[in-house]
Amino acid sequence: MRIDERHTSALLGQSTRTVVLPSGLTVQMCRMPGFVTAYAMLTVGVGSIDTGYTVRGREVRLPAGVAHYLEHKMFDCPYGDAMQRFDALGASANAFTSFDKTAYYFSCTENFSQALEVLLDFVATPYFTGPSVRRERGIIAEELRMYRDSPEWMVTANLLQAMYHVHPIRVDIAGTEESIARIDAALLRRCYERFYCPGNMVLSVAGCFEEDAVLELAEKYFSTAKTAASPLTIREPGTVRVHYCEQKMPIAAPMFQVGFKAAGGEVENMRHRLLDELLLDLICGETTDLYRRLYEAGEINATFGSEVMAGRDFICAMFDGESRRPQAVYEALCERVTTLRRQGIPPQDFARCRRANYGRTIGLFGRAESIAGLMAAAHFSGMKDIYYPLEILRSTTVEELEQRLREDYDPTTSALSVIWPQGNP
Amino acid sequence: MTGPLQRRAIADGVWFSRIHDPKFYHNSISVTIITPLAEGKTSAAVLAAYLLRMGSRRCRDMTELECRLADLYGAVLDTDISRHGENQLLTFSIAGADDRFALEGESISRGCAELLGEILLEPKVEGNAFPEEAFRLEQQYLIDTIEAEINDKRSYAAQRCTAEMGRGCRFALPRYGTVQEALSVTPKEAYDRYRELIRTARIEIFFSGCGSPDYAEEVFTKLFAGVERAPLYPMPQQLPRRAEQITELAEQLPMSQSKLVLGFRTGLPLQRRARTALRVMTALLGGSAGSRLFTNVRERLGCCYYCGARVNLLTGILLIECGLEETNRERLQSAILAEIADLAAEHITPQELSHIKLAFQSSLCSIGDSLARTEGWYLSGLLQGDPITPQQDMEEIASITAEEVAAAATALTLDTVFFLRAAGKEDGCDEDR
Repeated sequence: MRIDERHTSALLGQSTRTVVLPSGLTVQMCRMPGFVTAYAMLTVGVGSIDTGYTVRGREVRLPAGVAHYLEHKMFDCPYGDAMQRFDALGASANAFTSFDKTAYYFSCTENFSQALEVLLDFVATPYFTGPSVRRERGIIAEELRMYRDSPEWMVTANLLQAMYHVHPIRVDIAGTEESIARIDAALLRRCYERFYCPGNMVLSVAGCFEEDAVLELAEKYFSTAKTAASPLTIREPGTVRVHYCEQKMPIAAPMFQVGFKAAGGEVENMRHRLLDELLLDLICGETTDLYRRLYEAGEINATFGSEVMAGRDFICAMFDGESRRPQAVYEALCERVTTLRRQGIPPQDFARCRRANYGRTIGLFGRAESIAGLMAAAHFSGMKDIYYPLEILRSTTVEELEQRLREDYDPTTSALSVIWPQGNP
Repeated sequence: MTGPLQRRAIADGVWFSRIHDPKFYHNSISVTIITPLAEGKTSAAVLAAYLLRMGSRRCRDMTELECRLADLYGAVLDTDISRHGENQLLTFSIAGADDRFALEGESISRGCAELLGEILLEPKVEGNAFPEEAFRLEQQYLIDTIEAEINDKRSYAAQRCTAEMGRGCRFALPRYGTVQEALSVTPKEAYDRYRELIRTARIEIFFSGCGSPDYAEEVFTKLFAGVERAPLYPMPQQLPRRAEQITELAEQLPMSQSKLVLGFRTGLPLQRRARTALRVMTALLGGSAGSRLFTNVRERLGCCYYCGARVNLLTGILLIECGLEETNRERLQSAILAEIADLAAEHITPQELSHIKLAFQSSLCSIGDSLARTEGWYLSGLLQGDPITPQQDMEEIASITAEEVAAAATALTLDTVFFLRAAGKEDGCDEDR
């Protein structure tokens, strides 16, 4: 049965349409009058944390990095490289793998239907050959090396290893040189069959395009229903593994990242993410006294920032930046969390913060790529539509935020990761 | 010039431009101060730019300023320091939701214009200098920023190659100055330098978005009416057009992946058409995932993670950057030079030329879907003194021939090879419970 729904935001004068095809593929569309660019993204619900699956009650383990390897090799087609077809159409295409998703996307101003056909065709038609898969190993190994040289990457990778005991979020998205050595064409095909099923995919299109053309092509390439393998259940303890980790690299000033680990839950994560973004602003955003105190004491500088990292079954709130005394910053953040948990959030601070987040969220709806990203995130997190964040920001109360703070921000489940300059004692 | 840009002088050497498009939900105001890079003066200007965020006449400190931004529905104030050829650009911008989204009928865009004007022309000072304590903090931050250029090994390698090729030229002066220079600046010198810039630098102001720019224009016209302007128009420098010899440089760092940068001189074409052909040639060579360097060198040889080319039309330098394992260096360099020779020999299929033109067309067409890109496009055109619309550029690109592309490749001369060797690293992370 085909499901067809439309959601409208009167505030923005914008609407989206969601169609679930009989094959299970979800198609989301947002036409943006006045724009000439079309942006299409096909997202698959498989990422680096899928280090296995369950089939007929039996657990099958996979080498780390297999989702990322698949992403690299999906562009291989019997006719050559799909990238060249995109080029021939003037479309700019790329892909990425995250902890829990793999996305293939393009943008163009001409030849939209042809480019969409290239995208749907190469994702629907796996073509893995031994020599090509072997050659890719060297490229991925170079990619791993490049990331190991990035202090920004390593400070986060180390933090995740400190916070998580068993969750595969601990392992690099691209795997390790040892794990990718175990990946071959047969394994890629098996993983493709298990995860690349219409019910585990969403096609999100925003900008300038015709809805009928999108639906017609989506039905052509994904006509058969097939159920994806069940992901493995991850039993991650609520505690952190260690509270502190450090590494030395050739950098100038020390870099740090502080994480507060919370319990993950797929459907609730989008709402929690929005609440956590408000909380990060209230804990040590630029309008807070704590931010000014740390800045004026020279403990932090303009690189200081925060973000929420959330996915299928994980969520953590993070602060990062440069500091010569990262431990002091960590302690100040923990103390601030404890005080807010005990004393509550001042209503005027909450109102200011909510208003600021509302204004910034509006900006997201003026860009085709951010709308497509929002639509895909909404699908995988069970959010009813992409305008729900504005509704949450309008309706959230200070009490709800305080509850979230008490339940999921606890200094005992936090950790500090530091990258020291080489030569630092 | 035609297109969406309307521009007029609001003071001597101060220009206000409007880009209106009702399809957006937000507005952006930016003020770019443009001044030639000058040895010994760069750090003072950067410090002043940093210090402007610390408060203003009406905001006693950074917290009050940030609260005003939050009250303006989370308007984002940004400071950007960049280099454009021989010029240092200090850009201050504020972007916020359009007035129609205000919950209490207030004007967000008016508030943004007033706040940006106040920060720039009524900064927080003590006597005739920036406040000492705030200055010391920003001075340390500037030193950290200069020293942190080594953190990103890819851009560090590219910057080392460019610096070597630009010895004695203004364009190669460091964007933030040097550590010694930053250390020598005083709070008074930073403020003096800023006042000098407000008086003498060329200033480009843009209002872009769906709202009305009238009030912002009024705010800045009034503010600049109080400034005694005396703009300076320095002469551009003569830049080298061909490499005389190949300079080979190497450094090593404890890291995992080596970086190779090949720096070419392009003949510095002066005519716009020849510059357009150079852009097309660079894109064909290594500007995208469909380019020669990506498909033939990265994908087919599989000996590097990235390999791409980019050209700076203002300095006449084309860089090819790669991340690789050292054992592949010679094979990689030979393959790159072979691709250039192939283009110079006009071995260019009509198909690949048409594909690259389509890519340009798509990219140029989409400029109007982003306020930041539209503003960037026109500012860059104005700075080059040759502003055209994306449509005009598209037409010129469409008419470039394979012969012109080959001529651009023939004009390349290899000047500098910079190799950043991965010397292995102390792997691993120490942990504490």
